[in-house]
Amino acid sequence: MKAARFEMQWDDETRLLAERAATLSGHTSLKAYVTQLIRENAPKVISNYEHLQITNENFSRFVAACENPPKPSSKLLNKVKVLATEGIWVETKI
Amino acid sequence: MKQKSEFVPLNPSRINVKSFDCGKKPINDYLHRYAVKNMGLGINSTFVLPYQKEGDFVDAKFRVAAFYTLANQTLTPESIPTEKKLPRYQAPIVLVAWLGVNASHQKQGLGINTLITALLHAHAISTSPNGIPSLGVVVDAIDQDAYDFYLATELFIAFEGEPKKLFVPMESISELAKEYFK
Repeated sequence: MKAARFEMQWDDETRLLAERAATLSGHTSLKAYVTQLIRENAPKVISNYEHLQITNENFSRFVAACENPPKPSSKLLNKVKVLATEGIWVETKI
Repeated sequence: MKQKSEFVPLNPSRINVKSFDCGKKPINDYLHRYAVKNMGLGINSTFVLPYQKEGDFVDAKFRVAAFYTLANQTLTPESIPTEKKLPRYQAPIVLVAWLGVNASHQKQGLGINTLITALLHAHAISTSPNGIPSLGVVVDAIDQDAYDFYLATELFIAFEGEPKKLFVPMESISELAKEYFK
């Protein structure tokens, strides 16, 4: 398999931090350490994109609110009304 | 002078995304570098409010006064609840992933109009005969300013222990849609 090559520029502080962490976590190289970080973190980030995990209490709050949806304030409804009648106008000098 | 405009899907051949500056780097970076790419990947969709600045060439690309990004997401509880009244253990929602107003266009009511447009849009997707239903809209506030902005609408409900995320049931947005289409 052909390996892709990336060059990275790190500031001294980040590099020292990475080297220390790599050594302490028993990795033989920075590459091994960074690879492990990506393998650990990437699936989480990708799954977070599709799933928003919340506590059971928050999920219950959400379902309860959907069953008993709060009414918007008259102030907000008025803004909706203005938007419906006037549309959106944008200043063009700036 | 003012120009009437409306939100349209981001089309990079007609829109100059680099013109946008809301004063917050992550939001600027998102529109400048990732919005078009993510749309191409089918991850989410960005909608912009275009305008032409006085003095720009007539055939110049439009500038961006404001934008928002919508994505489909699923709310998932940490563990599957045992309460019977819960209809399902996952809830489809629309996420307002990004929302920004050009710095020089702020404090003119554009923020709230952008938010209302985004909410009505999510509602339209959810209630259209050709759409896909979702139970609510979640917003991802980038900082305290954004969080306060959403709270000030008196529409959003905070998730406890989530300092960045708020939600509103789709049924509440139906009330806004009723008012809009009255």
